[in-house]
Amino acid sequence: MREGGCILADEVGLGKTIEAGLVIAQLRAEGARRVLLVAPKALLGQWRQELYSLFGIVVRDSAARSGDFDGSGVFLIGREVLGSDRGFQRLRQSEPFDLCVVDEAHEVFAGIHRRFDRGGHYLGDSPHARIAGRLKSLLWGQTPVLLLTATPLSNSLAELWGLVHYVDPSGTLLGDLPTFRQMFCADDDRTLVAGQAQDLQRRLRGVVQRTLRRQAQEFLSTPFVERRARLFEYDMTEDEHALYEDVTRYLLTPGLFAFRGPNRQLLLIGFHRRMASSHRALSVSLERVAERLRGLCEGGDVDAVSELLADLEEELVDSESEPVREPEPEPEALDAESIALVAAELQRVELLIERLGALDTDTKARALLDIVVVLGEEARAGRSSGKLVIFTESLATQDYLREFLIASGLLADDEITLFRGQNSSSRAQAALERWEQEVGYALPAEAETPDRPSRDVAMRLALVHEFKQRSRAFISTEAGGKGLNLQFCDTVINYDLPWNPQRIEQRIGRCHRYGQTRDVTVVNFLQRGNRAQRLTLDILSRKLELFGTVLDASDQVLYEAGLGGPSDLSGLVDFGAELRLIYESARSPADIEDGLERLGHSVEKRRAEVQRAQERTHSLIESRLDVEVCQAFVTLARELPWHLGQLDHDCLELLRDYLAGQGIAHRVTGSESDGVLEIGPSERLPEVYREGLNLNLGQRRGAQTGPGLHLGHPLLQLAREAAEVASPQFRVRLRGDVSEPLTELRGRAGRLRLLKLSYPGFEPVDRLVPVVALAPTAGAAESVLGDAERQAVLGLLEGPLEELGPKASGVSEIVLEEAVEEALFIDEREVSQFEQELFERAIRQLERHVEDRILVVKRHRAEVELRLRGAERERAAATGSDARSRAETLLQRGASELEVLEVELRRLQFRQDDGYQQWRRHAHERRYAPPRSEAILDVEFVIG
Amino acid sequence: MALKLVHTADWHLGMTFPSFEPEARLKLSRARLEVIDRILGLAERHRAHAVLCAGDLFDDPDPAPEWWEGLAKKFQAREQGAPEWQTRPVFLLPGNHDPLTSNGVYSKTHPFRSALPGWVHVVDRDDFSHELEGGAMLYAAPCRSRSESRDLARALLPARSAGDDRLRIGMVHGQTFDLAGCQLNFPIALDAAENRGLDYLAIGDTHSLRDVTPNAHAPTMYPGAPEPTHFGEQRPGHVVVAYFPRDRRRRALIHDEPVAQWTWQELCCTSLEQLRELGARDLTHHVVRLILDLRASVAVFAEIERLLVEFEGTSAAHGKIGVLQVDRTRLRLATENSADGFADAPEVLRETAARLGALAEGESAEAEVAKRALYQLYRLTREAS
Repeated sequence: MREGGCILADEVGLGKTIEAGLVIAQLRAEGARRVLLVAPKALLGQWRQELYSLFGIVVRDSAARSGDFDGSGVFLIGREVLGSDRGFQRLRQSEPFDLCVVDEAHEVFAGIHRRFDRGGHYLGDSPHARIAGRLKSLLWGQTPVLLLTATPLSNSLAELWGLVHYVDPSGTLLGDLPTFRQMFCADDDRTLVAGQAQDLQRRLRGVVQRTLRRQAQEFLSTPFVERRARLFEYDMTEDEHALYEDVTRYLLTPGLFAFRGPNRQLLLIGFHRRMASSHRALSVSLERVAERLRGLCEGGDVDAVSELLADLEEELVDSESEPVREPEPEPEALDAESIALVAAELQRVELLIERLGALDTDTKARALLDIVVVLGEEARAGRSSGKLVIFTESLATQDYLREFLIASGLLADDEITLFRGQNSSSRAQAALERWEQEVGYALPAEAETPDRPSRDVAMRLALVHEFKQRSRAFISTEAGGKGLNLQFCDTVINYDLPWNPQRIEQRIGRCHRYGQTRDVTVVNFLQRGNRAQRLTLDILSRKLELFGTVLDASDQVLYEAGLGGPSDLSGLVDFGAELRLIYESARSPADIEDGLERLGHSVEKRRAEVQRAQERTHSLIESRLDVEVCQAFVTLARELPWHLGQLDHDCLELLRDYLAGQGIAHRVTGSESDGVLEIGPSERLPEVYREGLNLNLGQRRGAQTGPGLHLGHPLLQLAREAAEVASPQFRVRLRGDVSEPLTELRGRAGRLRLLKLSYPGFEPVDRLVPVVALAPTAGAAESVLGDAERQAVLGLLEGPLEELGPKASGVSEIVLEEAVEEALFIDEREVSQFEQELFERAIRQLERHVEDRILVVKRHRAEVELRLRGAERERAAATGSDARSRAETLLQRGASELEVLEVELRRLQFRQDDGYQQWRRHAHERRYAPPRSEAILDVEFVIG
Repeated sequence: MALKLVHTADWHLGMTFPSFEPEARLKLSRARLEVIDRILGLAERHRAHAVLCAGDLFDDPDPAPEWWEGLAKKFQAREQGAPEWQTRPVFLLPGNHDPLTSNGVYSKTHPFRSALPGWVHVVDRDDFSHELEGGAMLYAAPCRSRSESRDLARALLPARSAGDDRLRIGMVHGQTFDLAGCQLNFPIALDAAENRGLDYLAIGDTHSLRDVTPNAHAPTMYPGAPEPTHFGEQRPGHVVVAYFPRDRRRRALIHDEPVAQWTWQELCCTSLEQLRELGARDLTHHVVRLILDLRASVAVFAEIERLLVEFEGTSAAHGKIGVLQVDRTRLRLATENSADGFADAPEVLRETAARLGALAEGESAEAEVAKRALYQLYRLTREAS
């Protein structure tokens, strides 16, 4: 990371968010204060929540206001902040960042190569890849970056160069763009020069890390599960069918007054979507249309757009390709003829409303009841968790379904949890309060620390908690499609389908994610005989493999498909836009069906292209799980419980020592691994704890009966701070059991110095090294202890101890210093092996870079030589003076060109290039910088 | 105060590697100078008190200016960068390849000497001594010719006088007695260190890293060449960092630190598969002598040639092996089934191949020519098709 950064290109589903969180947490532990996290707007909530729930990191939401980027923290911004001049200026004026994480980095950096001219010079004012350009001017070369992408390579090799270039500020891994193209690219950057795959793979190995799910599978305690599609076909009643046909015909009528205005497309499409959702949603829509028509008749207008957007919670829309709401102009007065037309349209709509009201059956909703019944049976048979998530796009449908399910008697009110953009209902409030009582109280109080979730995050956590603990059904709008972890539930019902495949994937991903132990069932509805619906579903399920196949296949297509990325993906990306186009231009249901057929074919074609791109990624970017990482996993699985137990023990000991030092009464009931630390009331405790408190220990922390003791607990932080400022020098008698190898040394006085060695290097490392020397006695000389004795003394230092008065230990400073030096010499060897490897890698990269350039110059030289030979032949064959002089000119020009190339070649061969020298010096400085040593503890002791 | 020393030898600056192609020669020669930065870097990293360079630093007593100038520049650059080099002396010892002569690179009148910073000392006296950090003493004696049968350590380094309790380091260039079959030029007795009352004897000449006296109290060490010079050297490519505890009764702690850029390796392939496997290995920083010991049909022969081109590199791609030397003396063309290789060729070529195949039987010079012709014919036929 320190040398620029790296690209984390794991396959979708391996938890890049978690991996990035680990990197952030680790670098923060190493002293990073300011972390910039750039993510697509749609994923901000997910980042916020996952960093909080998994790492306890409360991000600082940064909206580019003054002071937003001051101080320490993890600053989470949407890309649009960088896109806006104000946000960019604020970032520019802020302090440097210690780490920058860019999510979906291929979307940001794929086009950065367009910011370079043919000669490879960077164009600061290029209009391409603006956000990448801004990040470059803001951070490049100064702040390590972690780029997250599952698709580092889609079409052009130059895109890959763009990403790699960003994590390699030396520019020597792949060279500048012209050199890279000469070395690796053919066919307009689309293919790799034959025979160069191995070389490119080798170079990428150091900066691109890619792991596939199947590689990780063996290390997962809960293996990835599959998703099963269940299509629920229902027959509308004749009346329902006729009504829906007529509403469709109405919507396809040209020149409708109800949808007139700049937002015609938005309104029409919204109507189509809501109509497919539920009777209630259709009813609300028709009522609204009627209201607008009535307003027009009376010479006014009704804000139909706001109402529609509110029902679909369209403020959540994040795709740049979706239509944007335009301001409605002031309504114009209609002439008499138009008023007559509006009145006729109103009559048509009122008739539809009347027919809808007269329907006594909602077959789709009834089908849902059947599913709930089946699910109940499955749960009783132990084949399902019995919980289900129902997604709908419409708020009206959400309320309707709740009422419908309760009315059916299948589910009680408290068995249903609703989730929407604004969760302000009394039910939601009650859930929040319950969560506060059961979970939230264990989190630090707001007054003491900023590390507490915002109300928004708390509410999300609370409603998920409610569903997990109490409810059976979770009815959610699109607001719950992102960022919620519902892996305890294994049924996803798409009551209606959004037109954006990415949203569908996100919905399913709530349950079909790591930690899910059962296969996930995805239920979709299809009205039998509705060809347009069938075609749409066919594209989503067969062509995009959204529902019914293993995740592997669907990801590849969908990932490319969904996120509104580079323009060349638009054929598939804008599934929603294509649908809009079809519905907008259709004049009859048959037009819609034809349009959908065509769309199916084009998606198929694009899918094949995407698959080819994926295959290329697989062939170029080695997917691997390092042997070392595998070994680390195995070791972790074996040793982690012990280490965590040890950490718990240390935390408890630290806190107890602190409490004892402060004179605060406390005791442990039960055991350390399953007990409670009872702390009595004390004025010396922070205000919120003055009445005393109980902290659960070990496995009891999982019980929800009270807060647990953990690393981030405010009391423990206080204890740590107190320990850090305490004097590092003291004198004690080691009262513990003295056994081998110290038996012979009982009664001896000595001195222990604990060193913190900081190796700057390529990968900075801090190491703790203890040094122990014994004072001379009548029968024994002053001596430095070996490793076993040293560890034994350290063990005794954990207690019990008896404080001794000030008296010199008798160990001379010179002996101790020499022992320190020797320890450093020995420790150095362990660090240097790894450092040497990194050094060699850096130097080899540099050498290879110069060799690339030499190769390019030589090729150029060969071309010039060829031209010269041609010119020589031309001169020999010249019959007139003009031809001769033309050939002479060519020869002269060629000769001087050749001379320049020879000079350049020699300069490179003798490594006289400034860039090369600079980066070589840099590598040497990294490798050979001496470590810093600091004594953090100096103890004089007597053994026994 | 404990003492830390960096010990190196056998840089052979100016070595020309005549058996290699010009570009490879340039790469290997350049690496000889570049490794000096690594050696001096290690001295910085360890905060060593001195750097001992135990002879054969140049390949010749009067090297071309680019070499001694290059070396002097390395030292000058250190001086500019870090003033502590004033207290971290470097000692250059003339060896048998670069002996101290009246007009050689180490002579006082040579411009190399005046280009050296004050903290770089040349061992230009038989009784050279220098006081190091904490009162430790360095004693050294230079080679004055390419060969000599005297043991410089025993003959020239002073013995420890009674009551002298200082750390004593010796430095000479030559060969220890123990290597069988070695010519005894500048011999060094195995007990030289003990005999002279030294705590460490820094020696140079053998290009392999070796603690010659692992069981003795005072190590006698060859650090080996920091960059290999020939195939077959055992553990070249290191320098030694030695730590001397203040308590002289304890033996010095020795670390060997790798510094070489290049790894030299002799590889023998007896099958096409072995050769293919070589292509999958990362040998871009290897100097490889590839011995092809196999009998190949014309088709396999052609495949071998194709792989060799891939290993060596072309104008389109780098070679897979850093520096390649191919030994084809044991590569034989199997002619008995050569007709198979021409099965789809025109009749006239098939006939020619058959005639060449017949001529290629046996070991005569004519047969050898016929084999080559057969292979060339095969290659041209392939290229044409």
